[in-house]
Amino acid sequence: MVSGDMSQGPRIAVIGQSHVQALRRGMGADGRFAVVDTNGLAPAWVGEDGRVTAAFLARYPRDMACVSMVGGNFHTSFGLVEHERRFDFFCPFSAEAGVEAGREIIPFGLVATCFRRVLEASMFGPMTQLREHFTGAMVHVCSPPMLPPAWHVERHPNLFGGKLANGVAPQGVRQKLYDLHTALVREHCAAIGARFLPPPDEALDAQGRLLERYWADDPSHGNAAYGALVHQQLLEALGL
Amino acid sequence: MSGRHPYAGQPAERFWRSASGAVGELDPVGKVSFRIGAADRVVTAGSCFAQHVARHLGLAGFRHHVTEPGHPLIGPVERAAFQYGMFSARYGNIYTARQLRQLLARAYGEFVPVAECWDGPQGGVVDPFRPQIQPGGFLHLAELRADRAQHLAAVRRAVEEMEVFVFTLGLTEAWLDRRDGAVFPLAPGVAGGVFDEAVHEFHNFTVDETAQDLAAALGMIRARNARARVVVTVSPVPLAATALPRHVWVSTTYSKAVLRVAAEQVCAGMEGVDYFPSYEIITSPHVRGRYFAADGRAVLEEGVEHVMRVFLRHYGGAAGGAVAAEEDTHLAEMERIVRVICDEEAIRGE
Repeated sequence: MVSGDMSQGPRIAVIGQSHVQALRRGMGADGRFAVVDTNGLAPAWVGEDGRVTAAFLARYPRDMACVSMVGGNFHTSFGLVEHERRFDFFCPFSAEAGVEAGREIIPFGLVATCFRRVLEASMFGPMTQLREHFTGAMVHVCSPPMLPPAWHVERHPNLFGGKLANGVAPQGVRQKLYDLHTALVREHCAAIGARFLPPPDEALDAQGRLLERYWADDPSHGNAAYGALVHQQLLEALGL
Repeated sequence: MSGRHPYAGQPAERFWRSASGAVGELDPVGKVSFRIGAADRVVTAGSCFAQHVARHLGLAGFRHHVTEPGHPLIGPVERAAFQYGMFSARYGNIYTARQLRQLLARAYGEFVPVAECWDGPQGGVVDPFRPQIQPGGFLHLAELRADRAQHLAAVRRAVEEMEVFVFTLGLTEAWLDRRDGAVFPLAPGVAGGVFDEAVHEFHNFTVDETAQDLAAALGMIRARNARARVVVTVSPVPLAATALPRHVWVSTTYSKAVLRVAAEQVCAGMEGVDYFPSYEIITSPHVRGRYFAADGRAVLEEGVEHVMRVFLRHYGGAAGGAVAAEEDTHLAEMERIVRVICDEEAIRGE
């Protein structure tokens, strides 16, 4: 699960879950990066107490730079698949201003409170620990705005395949969930002193969504071409 | 000259000496006019004491009918913080009979108050008629309007679907909008808005006003749901503050007396409307003040349990087990899938 040999001198620890795969595929052989997808680790990188284990952190010299690609998909869990009680919400962080008629409106404050609770437990806690461990620069890579039309999700549903009886949620709703997620992550980065790296502009359409040529063959990830753009972004951000 | 007199041979509870007993044994309920079945949908509303009643109804096996539970994607703790499920709909505390009457009128489009929104104390806007339901306030008027439309629809469902309505009268003191008589649950400026003497005025409801408002409100419910039966109670919780230039306890005794008399009058005049003496259970000398917390105002859980024990004894003969709370597995299932997909991503990437 780990690429890059730290004994040979990688200087940048890339730590995350599924979104690291696009980077891994797109960066080619770049020995400066040590990439780990913690989903494949045994024992798990996070203990039952929700904290990153000392054993995991001990693998990394503290003076390495850290690229966090932790989490980044709660918006997908929450709203990719249409719930039987179709919902919408107003989001102050989104260009999607209105709500769709006929849908149940959840107050923004309630959605944000729910997101904050989940992200603090699953994402922000580990990010904070990484920030405390690494003394070098820390960059958090924003998850891609993978918000394709329903047809793409239906063509490449993966494990969502059996769960689409109610269909795919409207792009506008998914956009707002992504925008909320991104705003909260950006806020946390500022709080812990990590640099927030937004999706590269050249990968986005006029609405800020990922262009089709950067979609993976699944509902929620970028592909290798997207990973190559992020790699380039990281090199610039880290002054390499 | 011994012989028959009006008190001779009456039941023991009619005499102070024989009605006294252990604290937990007080049961001042006489004959009730109906029972509440396990399937009967019970709708709740009222003052803060009614929150205890609503919470315990479900625990006691009654079917607390919540028509505005919040979206199940949101966890129960967060929904509770936003006052979903506290009462049958998210109306917050309803302290006065006029407030209840106006809520029903608003729900059915018979009353559109001039005051539509207030600036929130922490930004955003709040609903003047339920200023504390939304921590941090609503984003803007559009969001408030959307939420209000859903809320009033939930109120209509509650009215039309209920078998039983439990309403707890709380206060007589209130703040009104001079322009249209709209009653606010809290004084403007306390939890949003700005107090303006030119717009806002104080009013202390009388017995007649309270009885008329309560009867009118129950009449509005019955007009849309003839089968609805009603339990009226009076909150034992003293006033937190009085707007009158006198001691808060004096205002409290006036307020509770008015509510108690109004409740008596309405219950005596309407079929299927019972008075339930929760006020008496908590405040009776029989319980020797044990049901109030150290501040002399908050009601302790032991007291609430006593009230609900008596309520269950008299109304709950047919009530069954507690109805399971609505659970939603959608989000947990989606999170599991995302985790698995993420695992697959890792495998594919090797």
